[in-house]
Amino acid sequence: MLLQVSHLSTQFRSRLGTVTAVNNVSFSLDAGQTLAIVGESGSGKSVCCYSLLGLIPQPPGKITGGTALFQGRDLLAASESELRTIRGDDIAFIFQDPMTSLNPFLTIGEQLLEPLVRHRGISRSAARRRALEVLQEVGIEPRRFSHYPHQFSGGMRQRVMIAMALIVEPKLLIADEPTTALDVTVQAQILALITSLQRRYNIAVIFISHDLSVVANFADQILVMQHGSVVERGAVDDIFQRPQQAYTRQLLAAIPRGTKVVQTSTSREASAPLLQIRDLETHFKAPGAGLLGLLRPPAAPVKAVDGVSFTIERGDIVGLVGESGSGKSTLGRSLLRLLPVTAGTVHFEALELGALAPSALRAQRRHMQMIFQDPYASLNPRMTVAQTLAEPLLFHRLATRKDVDKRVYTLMGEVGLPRVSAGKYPHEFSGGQRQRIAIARAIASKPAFIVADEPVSALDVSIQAQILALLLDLVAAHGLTMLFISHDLSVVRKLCDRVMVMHRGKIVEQGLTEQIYGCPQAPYTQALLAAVPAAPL
Amino acid sequence: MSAGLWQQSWRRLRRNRPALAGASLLLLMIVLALLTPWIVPFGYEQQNLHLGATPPSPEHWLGTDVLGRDMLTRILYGGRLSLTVGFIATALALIIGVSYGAVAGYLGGVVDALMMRVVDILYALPIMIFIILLMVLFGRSLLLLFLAIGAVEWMTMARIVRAQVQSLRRQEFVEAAVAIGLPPGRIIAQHIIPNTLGPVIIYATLTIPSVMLLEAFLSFLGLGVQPPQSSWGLLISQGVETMEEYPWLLIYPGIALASTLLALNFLGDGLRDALDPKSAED
Amino acid sequence: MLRFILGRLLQAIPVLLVVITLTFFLVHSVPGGPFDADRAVSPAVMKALNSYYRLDLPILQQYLGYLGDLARGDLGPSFKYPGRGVGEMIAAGLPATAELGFYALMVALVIGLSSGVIAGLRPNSAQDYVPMGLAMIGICMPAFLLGPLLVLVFGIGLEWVPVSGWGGMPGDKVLPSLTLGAGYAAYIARLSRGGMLEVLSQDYMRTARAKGLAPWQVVIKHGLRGGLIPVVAFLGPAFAGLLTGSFVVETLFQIPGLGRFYVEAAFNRDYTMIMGSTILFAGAIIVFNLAADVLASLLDPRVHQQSGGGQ
Repeated sequence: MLLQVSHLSTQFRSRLGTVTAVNNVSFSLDAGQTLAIVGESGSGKSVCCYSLLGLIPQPPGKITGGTALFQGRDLLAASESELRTIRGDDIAFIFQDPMTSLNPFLTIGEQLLEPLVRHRGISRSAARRRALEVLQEVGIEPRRFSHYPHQFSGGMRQRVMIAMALIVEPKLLIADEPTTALDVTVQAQILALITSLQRRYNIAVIFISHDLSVVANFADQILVMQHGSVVERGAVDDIFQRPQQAYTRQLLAAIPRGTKVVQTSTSREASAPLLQIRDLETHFKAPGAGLLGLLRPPAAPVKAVDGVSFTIERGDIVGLVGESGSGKSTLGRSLLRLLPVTAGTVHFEALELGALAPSALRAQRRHMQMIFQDPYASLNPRMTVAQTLAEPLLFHRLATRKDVDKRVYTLMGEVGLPRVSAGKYPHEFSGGQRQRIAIARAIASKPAFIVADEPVSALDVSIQAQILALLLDLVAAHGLTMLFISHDLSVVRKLCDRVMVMHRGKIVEQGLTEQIYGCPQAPYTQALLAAVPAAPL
Repeated sequence: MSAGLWQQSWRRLRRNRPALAGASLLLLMIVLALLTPWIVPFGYEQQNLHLGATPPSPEHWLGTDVLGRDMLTRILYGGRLSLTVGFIATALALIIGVSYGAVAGYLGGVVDALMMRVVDILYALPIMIFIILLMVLFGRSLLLLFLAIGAVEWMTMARIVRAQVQSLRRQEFVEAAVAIGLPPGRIIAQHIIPNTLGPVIIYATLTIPSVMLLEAFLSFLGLGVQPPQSSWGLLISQGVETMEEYPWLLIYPGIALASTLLALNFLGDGLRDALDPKSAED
Repeated sequence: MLRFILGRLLQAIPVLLVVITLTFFLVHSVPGGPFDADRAVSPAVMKALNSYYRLDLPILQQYLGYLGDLARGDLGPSFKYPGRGVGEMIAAGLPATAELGFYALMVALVIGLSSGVIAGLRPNSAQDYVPMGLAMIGICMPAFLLGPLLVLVFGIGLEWVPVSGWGGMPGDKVLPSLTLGAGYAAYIARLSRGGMLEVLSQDYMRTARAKGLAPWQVVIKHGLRGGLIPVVAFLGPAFAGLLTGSFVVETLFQIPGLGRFYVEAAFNRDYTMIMGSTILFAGAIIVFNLAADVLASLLDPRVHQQSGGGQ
């Protein structure tokens, strides 16, 4: 038994009282095995692993109980200097966000050398040789040894972190959500890298994630955590086929699976499409253009949306998928003219939006609304829920000062918010609830069309399912047309009638959802679909 | 009625003891300054030459200066002037700086680039040197002093406001307001300005001591306020001349100035901590 | 990198030109000033002025002539002391001021950085409150208040150090340097504390600890560079402040430096000296700002590295 954790408990003290972040957690791990710890935010999955090596800040935090036997030695009873010899040597870490986890002021080479020099005491030149080897193993050209973190892409940076962790050949690797911040295709590559290196060096891995489907294919055991406690523990197959606990079942159910249930009752007369987009282009000036252009030629403009044409029929939910940098968010905003459009036309109900005068455009806006991705930034922190919802109602004269309160309550009811919340401020709500407020605001002016820009990406899995169900209900109840932008292919499959796949500013494929998912034609679509981690049914 | 962000900030400020102490002291100074003409025991020009400089006594609580003028009176009037310069010059810098910065930040694009270029060039000029030059050449009017000091401070305020407005503009709730169809004026009034007030208040509170220091510095060099008017800077400069024989002429105005500056800085720091949006939950 | 410096230098030239022009026209527009032909001045000065400043020519030609003189390094004769040239007087005062500025900067950096970093390592503790409290006092005590107080206590009261002069007696450089540097030490202390706090909460500090590095390595190797950035950014304004601060300190301590000469020139209405000194000060500030900017960008590779790595 490489690692045996028994009854680990960690508490945090704050001005409001003591919070138990980890409550009586036990698990064990053999060499070469992979344990996945799965939970939503606040479940304690990360704190539990950081506690093992004393990486939680000890003044507010405190390990209140338990033992963690690593190769027979109790980590929790070890002194700080003892722990320092183990950290980065026998037990290595990979963190979630490689941009912030790498020191921007030092070259990656320097950061790679550190664990070697520290733990093996070898000379820098010998360490450098080993570092170059490791870089090659993780797929980075050795000449990039002296580059800085900002010169790498997200996926490459994560490879650097992996190299940094593996350079000392640890016995145990703890990976804290290493692929959460990465695109699907990159995620697949990084996971493949981790698993191959693990097999080669016989490393035990603890893989922390909020996404069950990601870990399904390579974990041996799964530990499900909620509110600091272990909910269920077992082998992968057991968890997926025979989940015992309600919460586990809830998590499994929240994984978007299968296809959209198509309502055959929708009798749609052949009406003109709601939206017609032709040759739309949105360019951004490259940074550094302008006055500095005197000293060096300005870089070419970034073509975020590069010649896009499609139509959206009334009543459809159209999905727009792509990875980061594909331009999908820019497209969504360009449709609504929240960004200046460089070329092309957008016809909304036969009105060309680009030809409208500013005041006419503003009047038109009540028919087309947007739901944003970040529930923390999309609400004015200094306005109450009631004020936020009343604003569009009053501005578009859909309610008078007298009856606006009633209308606000109705709206809140529709999105599942209790009346008592009307006088509260955004910071008093959870992410899911804030998103409900944002949705209420979007439907307030009774729009015909809504652009939903990754509305559930920032939410926990179980909340995601609720919000998606809410969106479906509202679309049906109000006869809405929706453009659903997401990087999550499984969600899109569940929700959308048609799908458009976007890559580097162009739409590479579009069509009915099942056609695209069943027989993707474009190579990019095929690669994208192949990279999606498939949860065992 | 639940806790809005302003109420939370107020509560956090109340817990900060140095800030509260500073606020109280400041309030005291302001009240004294306002009431000065009515509470002074002597006229500020009133000279008792036969007295000369005397140390503190029951008659003259803070002593008298070389011309027999009551120090308490002079310090009170000095405070009146120094605080007035502080608040008015700051208000000036505020009005110009906030409008300039808000317009540049919100409109963006060419307008912003142009406006900030102007500020950049002005910033590169060693303004202090020019103020001194101006004061040297064109003498000693109070108006010039206000203008000169305001001219230094507005630019930093403009930069801060512009940065804040720019970051707000990128926030999605402002985009949402645009998506609703609100006209720019409404958006600025309802969404941008309330969220800009925080940094503006903080910086304004910290600008006042900066301005007062500048005035004191200029007056000390003989370039600012002229006798028979007194400001704390001038009193200190006069005190320095005779500090060996009559140290109280230096110490009391010094304490007055230093403590007011301390009060303002503590208050400003406290405001900065209290209004910090990062600690929005409590 | 070289491109960056060249770019900034190019930007600095028009600014310098603006400064020279503004100064020239400001001084020439003083009502009843020295360049006013009606003004009664001693014939010797008048003769020198006429020959150097071409007072009978239109103002534009006077300006161009002045620019030409500047290019040759000729700052003209002192208005008050006809026998001496402005350039000569500046050269006489420069060493003392430069030395004073240097010592003051050292005081500011050493005291400021060490107390700020120490405070930032353990926030909200005695290690934090004491230095920061002192820093707060330092900010609120302008040089013209601190100086006399230090003189009263250490010079006159305890008689540990002399109270005036520069280089004449041992220890006479202590008080002036401390007086000038203290305020900036306070600012730097606060800035570096803020910088340290900011850096210590970054994720990459956690990575460094997770690698098992020793605490001092974590703080110094990983933390310091980021924490220093606000301090370096402050160096530009600090220099300008040290320069103007020297006016006060040199006057207080009777130091024969440029600052004091400038203040005297101001009172003596030595207009040519005022002009020359102003231009010199402005030029120095511009150059130093550039140096500080370059230093700041050197610290942060994200700024000075062209992102040429690609994928």
